[in-house]
Amino acid sequence: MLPTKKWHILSCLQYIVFIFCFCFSLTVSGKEVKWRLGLKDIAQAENAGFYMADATGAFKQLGLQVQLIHPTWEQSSEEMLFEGKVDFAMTSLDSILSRIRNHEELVILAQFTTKSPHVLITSIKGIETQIYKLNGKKLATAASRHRPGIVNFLKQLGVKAQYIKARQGYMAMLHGAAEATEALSYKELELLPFYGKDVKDYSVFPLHEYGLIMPEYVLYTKLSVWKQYPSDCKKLLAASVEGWKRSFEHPAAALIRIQNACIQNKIPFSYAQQKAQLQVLSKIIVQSPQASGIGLEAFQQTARLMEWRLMPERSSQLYHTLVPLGKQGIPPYSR
Amino acid sequence: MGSYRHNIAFRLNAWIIGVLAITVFIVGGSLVLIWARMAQKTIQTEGITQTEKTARSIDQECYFIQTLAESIANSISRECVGNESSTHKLNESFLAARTILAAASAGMTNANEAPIQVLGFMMVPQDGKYREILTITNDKESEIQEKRNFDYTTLTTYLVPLHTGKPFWGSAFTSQTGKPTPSIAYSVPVYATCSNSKKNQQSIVGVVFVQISLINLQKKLKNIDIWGTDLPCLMNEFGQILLHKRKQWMVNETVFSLAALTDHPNEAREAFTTILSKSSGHTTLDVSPLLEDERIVMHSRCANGWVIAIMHPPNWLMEQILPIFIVGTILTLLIAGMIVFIISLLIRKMTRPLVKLTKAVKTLEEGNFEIELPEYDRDDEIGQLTSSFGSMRLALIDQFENIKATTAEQERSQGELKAAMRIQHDLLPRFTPTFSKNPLFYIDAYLQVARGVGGDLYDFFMIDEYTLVLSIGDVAGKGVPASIFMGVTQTLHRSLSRTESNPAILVSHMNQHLERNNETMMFVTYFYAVIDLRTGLMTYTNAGHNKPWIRHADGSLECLNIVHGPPLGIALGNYECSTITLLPQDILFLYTDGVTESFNSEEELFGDDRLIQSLQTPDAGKTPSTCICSVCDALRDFVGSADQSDDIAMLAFSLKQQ
Repeated sequence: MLPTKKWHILSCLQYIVFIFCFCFSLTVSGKEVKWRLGLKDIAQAENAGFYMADATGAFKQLGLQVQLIHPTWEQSSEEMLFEGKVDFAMTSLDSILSRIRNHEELVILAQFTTKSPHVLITSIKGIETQIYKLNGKKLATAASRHRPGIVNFLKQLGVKAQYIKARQGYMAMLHGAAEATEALSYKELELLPFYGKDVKDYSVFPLHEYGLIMPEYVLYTKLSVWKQYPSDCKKLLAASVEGWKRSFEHPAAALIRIQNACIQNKIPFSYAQQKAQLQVLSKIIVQSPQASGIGLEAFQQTARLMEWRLMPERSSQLYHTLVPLGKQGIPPYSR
Repeated sequence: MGSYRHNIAFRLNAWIIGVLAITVFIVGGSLVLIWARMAQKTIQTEGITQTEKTARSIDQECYFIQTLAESIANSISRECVGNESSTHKLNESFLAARTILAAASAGMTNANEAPIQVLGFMMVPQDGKYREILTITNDKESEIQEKRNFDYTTLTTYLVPLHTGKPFWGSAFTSQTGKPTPSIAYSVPVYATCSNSKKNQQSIVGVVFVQISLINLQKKLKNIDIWGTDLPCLMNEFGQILLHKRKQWMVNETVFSLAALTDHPNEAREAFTTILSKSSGHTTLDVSPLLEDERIVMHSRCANGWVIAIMHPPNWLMEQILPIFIVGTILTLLIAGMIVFIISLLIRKMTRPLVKLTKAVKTLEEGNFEIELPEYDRDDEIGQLTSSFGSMRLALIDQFENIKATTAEQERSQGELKAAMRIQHDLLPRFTPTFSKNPLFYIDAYLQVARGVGGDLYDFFMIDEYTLVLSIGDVAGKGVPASIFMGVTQTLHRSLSRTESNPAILVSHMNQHLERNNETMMFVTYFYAVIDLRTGLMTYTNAGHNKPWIRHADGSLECLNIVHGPPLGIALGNYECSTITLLPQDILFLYTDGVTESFNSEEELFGDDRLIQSLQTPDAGKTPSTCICSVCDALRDFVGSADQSDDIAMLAFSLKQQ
């Protein structure tokens, strides 16, 4: 027997109701926000705190669903933040300022390092503290971090070197392509002994001793995220700090997480190197939930180094826009 | 156990096992040590040889890669000669590279085990634009790709040749092209030459690189085989581990990063710095740098600075030797056991006659001469001993029979001697009441023979109611002959006394009888006295006998010095007699030379002086019995434990107070 028209109408209504219920259920379940955190660099000990926070359930304990995303050679964390591919990004101040676009409103949730970890390493002997002797020399800068800030800082110091962008500046130096390299004290500087080199055979210039106060290890988010989900931002920060704590308390477990991340991202993993890096990080990472924000001075200096067009007036204005928390930072989170 | 220790076979076995064990221990231990040392030396030499051989083989492989890359670079470079603008030259170089790479990679596949993964040309960016061309070789075919959006200028593979102007072997990395494999690249700068300019005005237009798989080189390392358990490692000049049995170390770790994980990182670093700086050789490390106990390193350097190292734990050699040593020890012990067993059998066989002989001797010791001696035909020491023992047994049997006969004879003689003793004893006068309870006199006597029967004699008897005869004699010699002579003398004495009362005549007659037919030349000293008990008159004859003593009542002693002739039986002759009147309480003491010639243990004579002293004691003056006792006591005290050397006879007499 053929169905009547009435039956057709009822079937259509039933189908519409079903679709409506399905959509409603999706809306309800979508209330729990899944946060995406862009990590600082490729898989390595620099991200150990976040790996541990994720692996040991620190995020989940605070009710957060966090997805960790590594940057690539093609796209950095800050770029992913601006493009909306991540909600939070770990990066340096100069990196983010170099990529910032007009009317982008960001919030700096915290910086994790106590002081600027940037150093210059040179194989030229006998120059010790005479940094100006790098004039005319080939100096490798980290290609992945896009550091015009460092170059400009060196220019201010009177160092007019021949700058070479390199993924592995220290390797370029070891093979003779460069006579000096820009590096991070907790990373490349620590790698030299692992290639049979003695740091004592090199001249090392800690740039913070020359007045560089550029924050390196900072957690950013968009102002809109902060305004809409201030609690989640605080929780994310607290869980991250907790992750770092756990990394330093259980380095073996943290190294396993790092290894897993390296394998997943097809990054070479050296247990010894990562262990050494983690050990150095434990000395410079702020292990308190009261991670401080960035001061105006650091912001203005970095803005100047980035050759910001409207600096210094504009940079100060941006500072107040970008850092609504000011010097207070994130209040302590109590679970 | 104690009985085993007295067993010759046991002791021989123990000695042989001991000597064998010590020999095996010393000789075997020395051999093992020498062998281990030689093996170690051989392994070191062999290790260095094999690493050098492998290094040369890798050099050939690398040389092929280097030649290929440099040929391509030169080919591209040849296409860029001229005075054209740099932009034009760059375009020319890129076009040339595409043609040359396509030609070079034609037919090149990994199926032919060619190590090349990628052939590439990275052009110096033109107006900020990147251009590179890659020839990727996979399992089946080669594919040419041209890329325009990848910033290769930050790569070390590009940077180093560009800024140093020299070819260069980069660090190892994991290639993500196709199956992830440990790879390494060799890159060469490509120059564009201006035909009108000098050579040093060349400009670099790009970099040619050849990426190879390290797996192919691993096959060469696998050829290294020293006793099958080697741990070869290939590292570059910075200590980066290119190849190792632990895959997680390959590419990821350097020997210095591993050194940092050890308990002695500085020592490990220094060791590897030394190894990387040497061309080839053998290094013994104080610490274990690769997390295993690998301390013995044989290493050689390749032409491009890479180092091949074979590492062994220090106990590796012992681990190799140990099974051989155990098998050798077991075999040695088995052989030693067999030797001991065979020697034991031989010893047992050799000592079996001795054991039987010992049993026979024990049986013989128990008095059983009916024993069976072991059969032993050989004329060696045991044969001679068995033979001698057989002779000895026969001699013993004869001896034993003789002893039995002799013993029987002795027993018979002993019986006869006892009979003789009884007879001699019977010859002595008895102390009948006539003598012991006589109202007129006291008399007592003492005889102690040295050997069963003796030659001393004494006698006393009454001729009539008031006449007493006393005699004492000493036959020369002792024993049976003396006793027989004594018996004869006594018989003569008694028979003659019945018819003759004069002592001189009687003694003369006795002498005549004894001297007659005296072929043995025996003689007897003799004292004969006749005492009138009423008057005390004593008539006496002394034929060579010891001088008698008279102890008077006042204790003084009187010696009857007169000797009337020689002892009886020596020569014919007449004897005379003397008289003396004995008072009551005078004690006449007669004795034989056994008294005065007694010896003590110090070979001293009793002598006349001691006799006189003993006779002068108060007890000696009481009665004849006390007189004899006094002398006996003195004699006993003097002689002590010394043997009696001669017969002793004493006779004492005194008249009673009326």
